[in-house]
Amino acid sequence: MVDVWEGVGAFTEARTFCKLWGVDGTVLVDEHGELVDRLGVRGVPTNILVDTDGTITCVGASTPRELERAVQELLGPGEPLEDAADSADWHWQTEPDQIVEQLSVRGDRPPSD
Amino acid sequence: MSALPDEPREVRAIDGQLSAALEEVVDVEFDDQIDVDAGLDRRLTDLTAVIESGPSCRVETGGEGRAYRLVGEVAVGLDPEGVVVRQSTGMIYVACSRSNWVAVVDGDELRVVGTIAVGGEPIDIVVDEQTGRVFTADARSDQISVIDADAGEVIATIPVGCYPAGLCVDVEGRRLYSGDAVGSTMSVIDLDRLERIGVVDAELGAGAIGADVANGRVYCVNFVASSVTVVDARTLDVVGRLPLLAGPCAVGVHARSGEVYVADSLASTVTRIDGLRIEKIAEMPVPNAPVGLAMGSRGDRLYIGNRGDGSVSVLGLDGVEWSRVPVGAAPGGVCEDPCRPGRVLVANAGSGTLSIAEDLLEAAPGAAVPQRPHPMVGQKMPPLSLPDLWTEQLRDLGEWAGRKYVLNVFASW
Repeated sequence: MVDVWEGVGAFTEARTFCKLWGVDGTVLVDEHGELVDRLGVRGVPTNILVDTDGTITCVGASTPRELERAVQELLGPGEPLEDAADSADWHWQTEPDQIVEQLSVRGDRPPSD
Repeated sequence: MSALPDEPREVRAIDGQLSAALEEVVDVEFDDQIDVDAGLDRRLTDLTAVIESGPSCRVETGGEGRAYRLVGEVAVGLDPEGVVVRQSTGMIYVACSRSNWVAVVDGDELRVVGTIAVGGEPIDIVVDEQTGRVFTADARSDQISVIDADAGEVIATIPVGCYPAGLCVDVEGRRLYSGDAVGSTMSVIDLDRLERIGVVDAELGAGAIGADVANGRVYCVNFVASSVTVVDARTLDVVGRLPLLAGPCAVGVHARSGEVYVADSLASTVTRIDGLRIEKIAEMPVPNAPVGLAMGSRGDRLYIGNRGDGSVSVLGLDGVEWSRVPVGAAPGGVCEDPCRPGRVLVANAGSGTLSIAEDLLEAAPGAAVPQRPHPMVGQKMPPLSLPDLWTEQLRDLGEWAGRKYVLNVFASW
């Protein structure tokens, strides 16, 4: 993942976000917009899919369904996507407490009831 | 690159940076206005990808000059989310949520003439034309700031529910509505007494609100619950609820028909609703993550801020995209300038700017906007190193060479 356009305190904002949502894996910080400028990315969220030879196969695919389709195309017919969802669900919709927590802890505000 | 050809198509530069960038790539000299063969589309598309850097550097190969005109882009502050125009003066007010201020922009000169400090994280902004007061939803302060626009200062604050994220003003009815996202409520404020006079139970993520004054209905869109709560404006009773697609976060009401339009940000759709029957009419796809929505003053179109695409769609009421206007990075709040019909103002959260564009279309064009793949599809990932969020050590993108991977670009807001 690449965090972008935070304005100020990019590392702090991104770390808070990732900790809250349990984002594991590699996160890079494009604090000055170098990567997005080079790739012509104009909005978020944007997914960029890259093949083994470095060729970009897709830019966009922001909804779960679009992303699944794009990933399946990248993998090819011989490599089915494991645990593909039947419907495009955003997991946080089933975990509203995380939303409350996120909105409460930013800026050192105590969690609301 | 080959020389220029027989059937030129006009491409207009936005500023001098574009000419310089093109000269570097094309190895010819350009004036501000150049002619390029339609047959060089692919290469021109490549150029678009190369030079789309910085908010003021843009190549318009499609609608510029025909469907729209880009007037300017003004730096206003960090993470601008909401924009409104005070019709009596033509001044533009932009809520900059990470600067905790409202930028005041002169609508004629298109420059910032001042900033007004408000509460924490102002997300939405509206104006009461009758009193000349501007209101901001200060999400982190659980309040609404009241700005005397003539004096240019906050004169009062109104406590509301937890995390107000959306506002709607009913000038005739002397009401202000606030969607309190974390509190799951809609607060009702008396515009003259400047105090809360009612609270309506909505759902988690209550934010954007639209009022159908003629039919006495208020629609509160709930982002997390993915629904709309329908309220009787007179009694403040909840009269209905409609489930929506993921992440609804902006709403508009058609003044004549009473139809309601909701931007479903995470589904990349706009839902069209029969407001009185509380039934969906259609779910209409839009480019990518629509976050802003404004009804066009002509009553035949919508303006959609596509956060994921860096554009504003001019959308017919039937969902056909008439044009797509490139604006700043990660646009959100959008409004039409009531002083200059057809002029669209867009708050760009990613670039910290306000875009000003003119919708030149008198009616639906003959053809919808063609869907083209992103210009970087088929190109190679550029070599680049960026710091790791946790270790702050530089990591080269080449680390993933030889593998298939997905790069997800996001922002915490």
